[in-house]
Amino acid sequence: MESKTEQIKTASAVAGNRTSFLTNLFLKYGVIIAIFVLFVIFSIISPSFMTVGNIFNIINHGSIIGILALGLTAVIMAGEFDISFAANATLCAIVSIALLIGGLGLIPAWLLTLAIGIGISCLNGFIIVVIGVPSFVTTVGMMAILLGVANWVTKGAVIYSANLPDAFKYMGRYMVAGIIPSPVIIFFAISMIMIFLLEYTYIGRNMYAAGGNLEAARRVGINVKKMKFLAFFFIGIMAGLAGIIIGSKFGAGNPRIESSFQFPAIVSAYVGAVSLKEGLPNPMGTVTAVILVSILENGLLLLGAPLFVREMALGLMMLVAVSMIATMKNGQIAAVKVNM
Amino acid sequence: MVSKLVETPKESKSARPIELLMSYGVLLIGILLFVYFSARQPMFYTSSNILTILRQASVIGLISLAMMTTVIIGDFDISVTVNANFCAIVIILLIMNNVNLYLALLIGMLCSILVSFFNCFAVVTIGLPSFVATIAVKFFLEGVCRGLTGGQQVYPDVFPDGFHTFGRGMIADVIPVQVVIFLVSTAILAYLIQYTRHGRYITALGESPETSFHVGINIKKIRFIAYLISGILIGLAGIITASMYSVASVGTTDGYATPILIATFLGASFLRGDQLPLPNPKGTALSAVILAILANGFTMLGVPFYSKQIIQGGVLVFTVIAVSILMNRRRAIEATTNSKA
Repeated sequence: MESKTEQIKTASAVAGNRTSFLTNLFLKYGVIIAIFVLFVIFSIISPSFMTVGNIFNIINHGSIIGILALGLTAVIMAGEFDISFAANATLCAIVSIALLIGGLGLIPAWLLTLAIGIGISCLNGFIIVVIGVPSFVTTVGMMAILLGVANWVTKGAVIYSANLPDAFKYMGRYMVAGIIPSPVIIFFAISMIMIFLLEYTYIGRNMYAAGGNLEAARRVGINVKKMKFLAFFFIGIMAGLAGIIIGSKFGAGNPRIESSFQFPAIVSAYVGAVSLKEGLPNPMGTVTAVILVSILENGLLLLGAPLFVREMALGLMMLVAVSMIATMKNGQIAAVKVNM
Repeated sequence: MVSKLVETPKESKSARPIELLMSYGVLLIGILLFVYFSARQPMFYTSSNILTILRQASVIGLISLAMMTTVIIGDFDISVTVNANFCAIVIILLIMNNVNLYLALLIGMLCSILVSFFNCFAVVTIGLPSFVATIAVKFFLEGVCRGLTGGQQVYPDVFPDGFHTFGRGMIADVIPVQVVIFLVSTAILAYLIQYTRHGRYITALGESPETSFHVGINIKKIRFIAYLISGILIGLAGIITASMYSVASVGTTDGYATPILIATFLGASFLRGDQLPLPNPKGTALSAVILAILANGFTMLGVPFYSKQIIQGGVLVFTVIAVSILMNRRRAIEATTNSKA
């Protein structure tokens, strides 16, 4: 009569590892493979795709999405969800422009914008973690408020000014060494930091625990509430930063810009879970997913595909990704129930 | 030694003042708002304006009832507004291609039901979390709607007879058709949920999924029924929308998104007294009417659109916080009093 541990080991040895090497490879690196495949396809179909300028275009647009998606990754790792981050970023962009128009200095304006982004997200965090309202409903309501405030500040129009300080362009429009756009540098730096924090320190592990089995995490001694709040803190920083970059890049505050960043970021966060980690949301996977989404959007744009094709393509990508997560080995998206 | 955990809770099981406030407060607020707007703007209290309010409330109400049905069982369908718009667009496009009116309406409703079934499949069969699946479906559907209309406002030159009855017709020259549809739907839904077996299973599933499972309720079938009901209601809303606006356009129902969410949760405490707050048909319907009063009043008073957005968002956040606190409190009370028995 085998011991319990031996029985369990035999059972898992039989049940697991049925997938072949090739399938495993595809599951883990599928997104990266898809990036190369798409890159090749678009290069063949559209001659203007594979130019240096266009590639930097891709990464430039993707940087803002990527910064937001990294923040969202932390939140879904912790088992919550935030749909208001794009509205937060939009409002921060508008606020940064409004503050500068109002005469505030450049650095104070940016710092205040960042603080506002963090503050809004921490308010979300407070309502969700301390009061205990389900994250999705809270952030949907907050999104409505934020968009309303954004429209109120701009009175529904686009605000801009010709008298913005010259150094204003450094965050969004400046080309480092003449070719690399500054958002790309910022995104690179942020992703290095986030990957380090979430992959190689206790923060990431504890967030996974908080997002998985709350009771087990609590008994192991992990402060679940602190971890979830920290996740919202992260996404607040990202939203504020993205807002600053958007404001700097476009030189104008436009409330309608929210929709172009919201869904690509959400898709990236979930497609990122499919990449590299077989179902766990993770920052490195998110970065690869952002590249994939950016290539897809840019390619379709160059091909002249109408807007709805891009929308449908992203929607389809997310459905496929989420279905894959549900069936994958580590598949874990917090099934947050509405019935509080 | 009796531990502190099973001491008699200081609060009794009966309704606390704040629960009573939420219970009847919704009705009170509606009346207050109505009076306030009538006083501020005389044009508000005209029969034509009241009819407009009721007409708006009907569409909002039907979609809210649809969302409420899925929220009761614990799922969240954020694609309902786009689904209704999709149905409306399909109907208009079919009519433009000279399809028989009633066939067009039927196909439109079938489209809504199909989308609902897909959501059901994604959530129940594949097991995706509902808001993730329905967000993806929502964006995908938005793309489909944009593709179907080419981003324009599409409308037919000639409308078949009877097309406008749903949106603009009257019964007995007094009550708009869509209001009747809305009220009848609410009544039927309330009856189904309270007096039929499957309806009570839906409530049971909402109040306690674990107990429902152990008692032997077929959870998959109940969820399927809920999504079916939701799809039918959305189809009705789509028919009325098509008839009311007569155009197929991408953003028609977007303005309803926040009010629908508010209606779903605001009605949860309505008339529940000392019971667990749970979204229910009567509460949702009443909340939809109140929100229509609010929106109409704002328009009458010339409130700018962004203020309306902010206030609606604020009401939503306040509502979910209040309902959440009440639910947690009620659950805690019932847990401690039941464990003593």
